[in-house]
Amino acid sequence: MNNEIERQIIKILKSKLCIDCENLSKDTILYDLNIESLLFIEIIVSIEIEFEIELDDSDLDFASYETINDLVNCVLIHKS
Amino acid sequence: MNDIVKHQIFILPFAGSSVKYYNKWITYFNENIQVELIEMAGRGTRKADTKYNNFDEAASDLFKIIKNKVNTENFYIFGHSLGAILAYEISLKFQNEELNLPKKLFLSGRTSPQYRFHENKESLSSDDIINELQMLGVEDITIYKHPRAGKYYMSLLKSDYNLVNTYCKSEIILKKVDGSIFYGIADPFSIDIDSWQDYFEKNLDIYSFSGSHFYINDNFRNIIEIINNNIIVFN
Repeated sequence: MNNEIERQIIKILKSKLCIDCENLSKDTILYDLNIESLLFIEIIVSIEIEFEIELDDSDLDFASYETINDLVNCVLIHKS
Repeated sequence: MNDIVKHQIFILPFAGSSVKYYNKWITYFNENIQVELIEMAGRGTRKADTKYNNFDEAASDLFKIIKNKVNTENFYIFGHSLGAILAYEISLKFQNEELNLPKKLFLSGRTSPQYRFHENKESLSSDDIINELQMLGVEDITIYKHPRAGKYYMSLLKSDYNLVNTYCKSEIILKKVDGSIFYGIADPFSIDIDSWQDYFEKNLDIYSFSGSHFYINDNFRNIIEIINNNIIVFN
């Protein structure tokens, strides 16, 4: 299940960031992807739609996440 | 990173922000300086931790975190605005407990503790706060107007204003610590910047930059260069 969530999140990131990087993984540092705050909110909203979950407003804070794996964990918490 | 840490600099956030703001600074420090970003409760990776009720709770919590992370005698603290007075008060806690003191404090965007700001500002409307942020030089306030994220960031800012509002300066001063002060010449929070002299018994140097409260956005590489040069002196 984790791998599937990770795959979907990476797909969303590639689409929103318009990048074609094959090296994204759960350990990728989000800061290194140069994501602006507002774009990050768009990414979170896409994740909410993709996984049919509703995150807290505080989950929109880019600073809450270090890696893609933190996004995976956030989805897992809200799906359970 | 070297196996033996020669220098550590602890960086504190400013009001309404996560310490992650300083991520982009890290690569500009000398390689023998270990940069430690210290997050406050209720934000960023510590968002699950209850926000502080007052300034002293914040200073005490951050003091404990820094105390546990110090692994060299050559350590320094940097803070901007709220972070500056936190850095000063945290250093006083090191002094009170007779621990090794920071070699130097790097304080930015805030005049000395005798001046108070943000009194009762937590009751201001969001629009008034946004206007003030723009006056202080925050270039992009879109995030504060976002229907969902805006509520979160505004609550963080108001909570931090409460910290500033509950700040009571200590009656004692730092005895064996040097200081460097950085400020924007148009910053309303940096009036009478020389008054910091009364809070340091040792050497204090003061650096001015063009700009207002958020002069650091455009000048951070210069600030880090000064910090790097200062720390070389302690090699």
